Amino acid sequence: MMMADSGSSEEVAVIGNTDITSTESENNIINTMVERGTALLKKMEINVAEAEKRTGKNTVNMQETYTVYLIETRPVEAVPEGGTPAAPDMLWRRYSEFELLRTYLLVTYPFIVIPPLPEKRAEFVWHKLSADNLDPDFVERRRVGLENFLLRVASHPLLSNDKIFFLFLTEEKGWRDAVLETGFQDKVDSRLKSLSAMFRVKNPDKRFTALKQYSDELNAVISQLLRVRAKVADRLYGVYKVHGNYGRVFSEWSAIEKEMGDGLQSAGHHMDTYAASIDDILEEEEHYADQLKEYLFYTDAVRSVCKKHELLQYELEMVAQDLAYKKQQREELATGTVRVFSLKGMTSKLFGQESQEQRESRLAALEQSIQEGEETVKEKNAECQEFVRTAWKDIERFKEQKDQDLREALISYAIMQISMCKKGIQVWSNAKECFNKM
Amino acid sequence: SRRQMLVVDVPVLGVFSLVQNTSLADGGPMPNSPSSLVNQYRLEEEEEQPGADAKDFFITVDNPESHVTAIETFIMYRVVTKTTRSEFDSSEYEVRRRYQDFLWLRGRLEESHPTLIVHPLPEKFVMKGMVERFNDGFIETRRKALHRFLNKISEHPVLSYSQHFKVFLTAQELTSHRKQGPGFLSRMGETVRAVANSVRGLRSRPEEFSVMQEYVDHFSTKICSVDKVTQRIIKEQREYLDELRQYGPTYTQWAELEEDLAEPLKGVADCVERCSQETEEQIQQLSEVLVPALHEYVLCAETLKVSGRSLHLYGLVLWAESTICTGWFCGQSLTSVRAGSVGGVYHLYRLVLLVLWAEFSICAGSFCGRSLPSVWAEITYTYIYYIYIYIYII
Repeated sequence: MMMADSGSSEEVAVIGNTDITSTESENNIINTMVERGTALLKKMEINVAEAEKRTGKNTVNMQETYTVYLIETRPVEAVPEGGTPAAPDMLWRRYSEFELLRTYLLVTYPFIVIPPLPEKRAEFVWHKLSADNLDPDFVERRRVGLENFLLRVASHPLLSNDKIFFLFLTEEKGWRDAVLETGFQDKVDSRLKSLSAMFRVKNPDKRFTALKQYSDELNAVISQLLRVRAKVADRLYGVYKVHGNYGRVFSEWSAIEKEMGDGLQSAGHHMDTYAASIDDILEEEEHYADQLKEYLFYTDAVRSVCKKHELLQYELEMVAQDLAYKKQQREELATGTVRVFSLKGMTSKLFGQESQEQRESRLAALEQSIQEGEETVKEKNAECQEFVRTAWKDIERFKEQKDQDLREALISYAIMQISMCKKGIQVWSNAKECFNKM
Repeated sequence: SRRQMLVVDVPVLGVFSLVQNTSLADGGPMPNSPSSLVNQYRLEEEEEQPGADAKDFFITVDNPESHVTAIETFIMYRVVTKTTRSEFDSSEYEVRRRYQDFLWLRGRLEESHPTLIVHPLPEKFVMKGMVERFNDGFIETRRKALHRFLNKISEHPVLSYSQHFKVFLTAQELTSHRKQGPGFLSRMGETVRAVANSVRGLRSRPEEFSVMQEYVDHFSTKICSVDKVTQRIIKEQREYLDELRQYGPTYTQWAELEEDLAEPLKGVADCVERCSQETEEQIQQLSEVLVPALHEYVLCAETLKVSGRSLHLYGLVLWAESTICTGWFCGQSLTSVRAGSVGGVYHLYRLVLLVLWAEFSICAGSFCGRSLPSVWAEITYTYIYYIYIYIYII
C-alpha cells in the first residue's frame, strides 16, 4: 500500500518505535511464548535450524524427493565467561512425522486447541510465488512454521509435559514405535466420526455453539482476507515493475542528450532501484500472511474441539434417552400397562400373558440394565462436564493468545508498510533531485 | 553545447527556432517544463513567462460552451486578447472560437511559414480510454492545450506577426475569412520561394542537418516510450486501486466478529481506505498533468520529424528544378524548348520522374504513425508543386 505522507504525527506516535523491523516484532511473539515459561521451555531451547533435500524409497518402493528439517535442542543454562555454549542435540524430521505427532496430540487431548502445522501445499499464492513444495522460499517459510509449531506446543501448560512430544524432540529412531505403541490410532476413528458426523444435539452448551459459529465466520473472513491480499500484492508488483521501464528508457535517452544526459542516467538508476524493491517488500509481507494463516488453521482446531463436545453431549443424550426408555419399560412391566410398543408385549397379547416367573426375571434383568444405565449416564455426564470445564479453560487461554498475537501481527504489518513508504519516498526524492539538476 | 545542435546558424533558417522556446535546458521555470511538473503536481495556469516585461500579448482561452445547431454540436471557447501591439486597432478583443478554427489557424501558419515549427494542437479525435468527446475532463484538457497553443504563437518572433493570427484573434466572424484568401497557385509560389531561400542556405550544411534529423528521430522514439510507460503505469495503478478497494472492507467484516481486536482491525480498514483515496488522487494527477505534457512533446517531436521530411521533399524538388533549369537553359532558346524538342521533353520527363520518386520515397517512409489526412495533404501539395513547376518551366 502506498500511503501518502499524512503529516499527522499523532498517528505515528501511537505505534511507537517504528524503527523496529517486522521480523523483530515477530520474534517478540516467540519471546512471549518462551517467557510464558513452561517447565519444558525453562529447561531447553528448541530450534528448527535447517532444511535439506533427501531422496529415498517410499512405501511403494518408488524414488521420491522430500525435505527434512533439523531440530536442535539445547539445554538452557548459564554459559560460563569465556566458555562456549554446549553443542545442541540434533535430529532430522520430515513433514509427515510432524503430522503424525499432531494427530497423536489431537486424539490424546481432544479438549485442547492443538496448534496447527504450516500448510502442506502453498495456497493463496500471488503469481510470483511458486506453488512448488520444493521451492526454496516455500521450504524456508515452512521451516519457520514448523519451529513455531514446536514452540507453541512447548509453551502449552499441558502439552509441553507430554512424553511423546519430548521423545519427538530427542529420539530420532525410536520415536515412531513409541507413538504407535500408545495405541492412539484406535481413537483416530472416533475423532474422525466426531468431525464428520451430522447429529442433532438437543442441549449443547451455548458457549460452544457460539464458539463454533465464531470459528466458522473467522475462517471465512481470514480466507477472504488472504485471497484479496494476494491479489493486491500481485497488482502492486505490476505497478513497481512497470517503473523499471522508465529506468530503461531514461538510460537509452540519456545517450542522445548532452546536458540532460547525466540527470536522466541517474534518474534511470533510481527507477531501477524502485522497481527492484518490490521483491523484498512482498517477501516480508508473506510473514504477515503466514501469521494470518496460522490462525486460519487454528480455527479448524477450535472447530474440532466444539465438535468433540457435541459428540460427547450427543452420546450423553443417547445414553440418557436409553435409560429413560428402560425406566418406562420397567414402569409398564410393574403396572401391567402397555404404553410402549414391544415385541414381548405383542407376543404376550397374542399368545397370552407370560407367567409370573417370566415377568419377574424380566423385571430383574431390566433393573440390572437400569442400574448399569444410571452408572453409564453418571460417567458420561461427568465426562461431559469435565470436558466442558477443561476445554473452556483452554479456549479462554487460546482467546487471550489469539488477541495478543494478532495485535502484534497487525502492528508489525503497519510498521512494514511505513518502512516501505519511507523507502519509496527516499527513491522518489532522489529521482526528483536528478530531475531538478537536469 | 546542446543548443548549437538544435539551432543552425543561418539567419534565414528559423527551422528550429520554436524548439528553443520549449527547450528543456532553458532558464527559468516554464509552464510545461519538467521541473515545474516535478515540483508542483498542480497545473500552473498563470505562470510567469521568461522575459515577461517584453510580453505584448496576454491571451486566455476559457469558458467552453456547448453550441447546438441543426447539423452538429460543438464546443465554443472564449478567446480574450489584450495587446499593446500597434498593428492592432484596439487593445482588447473578445471572440468565440471552435476547435476547427484553431486547426485553420495552424494550417495557415504552417503553410505560410513552412520552415518554422508551429506548436502542435491537441488531437482532433479522442484517444481510446476516454468515453465521450464532451466529457468534462476531455474539454478541460483540450482547453488548456488550446490556451498554450495561442500563447506559444504569441511569443514567436515571426508567427505572432502573421496576418492570420491577427484575424483569428480579432474577427468576430471567422468563417468568411476561412473561405477567402489569395489564390492557390500564388500561395504555392510564396511557399516554394520561401523554401528555396531557406534550403539554399541549408544545402551547404548537410552534416548538421542529418545530425539534427537523427536526434529528432531518437528523441521522438524516447519521448513516445516515456509517454507509453506512463500510460501503462496509470493502467496498473487503476487495477491496483480496484483490488485495494476490496481489501479494506474485509478488515471491517472481521472487526465485526471480534471484541478486543475490533478496534485495531477497524483502524487498519480506515488506513486502507485512506490509501485508496490517495492512490486515486495520484492516478488523477498522472492523467491530468503528466500525460498531457508528455503528449505535447510527442506531438512536437512528430511535427519536427514531418518538417524535416517535408524539407527533404522540397529540397529535392528545388534541386531538381534548379539543375534542370540551369542545365537546360544553357545554350537553348526558349522557343526551341517550347517547340517541344526531344531533348526538352526528355529533361521534363526526368524532372517529373525525379519529383515522383521523391514524393514516393518520402510518403512511403512517412506513412508510419501519421494520420491519413496529413499524408494526403502532403501528396496533394506535391502534385500541385510539380504542376506549378511544369507551368513555370513552360
